[in-house]
Amino acid sequence: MIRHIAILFRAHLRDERRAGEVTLVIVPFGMVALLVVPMAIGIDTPLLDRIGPGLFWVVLLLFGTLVSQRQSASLSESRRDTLTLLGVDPAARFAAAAMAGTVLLTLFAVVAGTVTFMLYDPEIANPAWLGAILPLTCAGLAMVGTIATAVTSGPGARSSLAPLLVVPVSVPLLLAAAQATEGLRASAGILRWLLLLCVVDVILALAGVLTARPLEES
Amino acid sequence: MIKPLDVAAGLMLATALVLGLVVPPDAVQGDLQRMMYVHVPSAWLAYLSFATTLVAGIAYLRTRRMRWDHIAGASGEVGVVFTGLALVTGSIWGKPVWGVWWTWDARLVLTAVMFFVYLGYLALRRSFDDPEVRARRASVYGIVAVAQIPLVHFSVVWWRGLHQPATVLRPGDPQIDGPLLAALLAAVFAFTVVFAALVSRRAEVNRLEDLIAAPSAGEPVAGSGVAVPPIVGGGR
Amino acid sequence: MSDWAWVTLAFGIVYGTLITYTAVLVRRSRALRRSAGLK
Repeated sequence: MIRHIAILFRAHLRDERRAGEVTLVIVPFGMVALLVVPMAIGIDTPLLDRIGPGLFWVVLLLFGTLVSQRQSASLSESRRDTLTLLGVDPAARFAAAAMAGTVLLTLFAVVAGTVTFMLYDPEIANPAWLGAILPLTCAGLAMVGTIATAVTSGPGARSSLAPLLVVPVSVPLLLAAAQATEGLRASAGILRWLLLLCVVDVILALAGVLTARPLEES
Repeated sequence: MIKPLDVAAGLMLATALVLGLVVPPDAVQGDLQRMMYVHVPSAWLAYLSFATTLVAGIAYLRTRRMRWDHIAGASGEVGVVFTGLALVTGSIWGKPVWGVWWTWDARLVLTAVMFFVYLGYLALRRSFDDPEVRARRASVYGIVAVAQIPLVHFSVVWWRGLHQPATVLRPGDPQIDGPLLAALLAAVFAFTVVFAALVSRRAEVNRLEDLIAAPSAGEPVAGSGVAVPPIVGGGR
Repeated sequence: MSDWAWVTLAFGIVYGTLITYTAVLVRRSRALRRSAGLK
């Protein structure tokens, strides 16, 4: 099982390296979004400092749906059938897709976060904590995205539907990540929000593994 | 075809309407408080329909009977209607009392999030032609979405600070007068029966839609040599 | 707007929606029953 996950995980990343969809399309798109917001609301430095972190999380949430929906994430019918015939557990496929999604989203978050620091200059007391908040948030978003992509894939399904499925369900992730960042700014406790992120991740992991088989049949 | 459940729902709804309009006004909010008799039952049904969708979704995955999927879909649609009504009546109540259409109250935000989760659920159901695929995908999304609802609740409550505790469900310390409470309970009961009647009717529509979309007996499905076998009992 | 006007608006929206929704469902199920060849 673990070997299957590792092989599939590497295959996902290899597909992305070849296609470059996240690095060459989605990351620049997210950066443009961060660049145009001050053009719309005005160049008020204290205001930008205030809204920067929140805006970063919104961009991560919205553009994260694109990362989960990248073409290299969806397996062709024949490839899926081959994996089923080879006896690969659907749960392993979910785990590999979610892990690859987490890595790519974290990559997106690191680039977008750097751009946010440069353009908005927010003050954060203990940036080292972001090392825990970012991967936990990205893992949650990747799992929701993987489930939504699986649910909306296949003939007749509308892939444009996935973001509508992802965003409302990701509210706890957005709130926890944004409030933890706020806590860092105000030097307040963030443990409660980190705990919430962990609980959300565990529940999503369970949901993804348990529902992998019924989704496989279709 | 009018069923006894429809008649009961209609009568109870009429009684709840009359009671809601004739009971004495609230001591603090006056007549405005009458909006409680439509707002609270709508909000209650929003939660009930979510729970029904979840239970029916799980039941479908376990039994693979399409009947459960028809109920889940019906409950999802009726849920959107009542969640929407809860939001609209809450807004209409908020304007004269607080002076604003919307406030970032934890319960309001949760209801709004639920509304969009439901809309996604319905949009997902509409995007598949094959009833079996639709049932499986919708059940999975329903389960994942409902598993997130308590977390949405906690995150929003922590975010906004604690909402005032519910005034009715506190035994021994009733915050609301007898006749007013009776009118509220009558409305909640009537709306619940209406919910049952609507879900039953909508599930029937789902069943008929699947029946019409399915190839009928004797129709060739793979060349003229292979035809759909007749189904005893009128389909799924 | 008076208190009663707000109450009428809220009740009107809720009861109006429920009646319209019920009417739509009844018409739809009748039409479907006809096309399915049921009574």
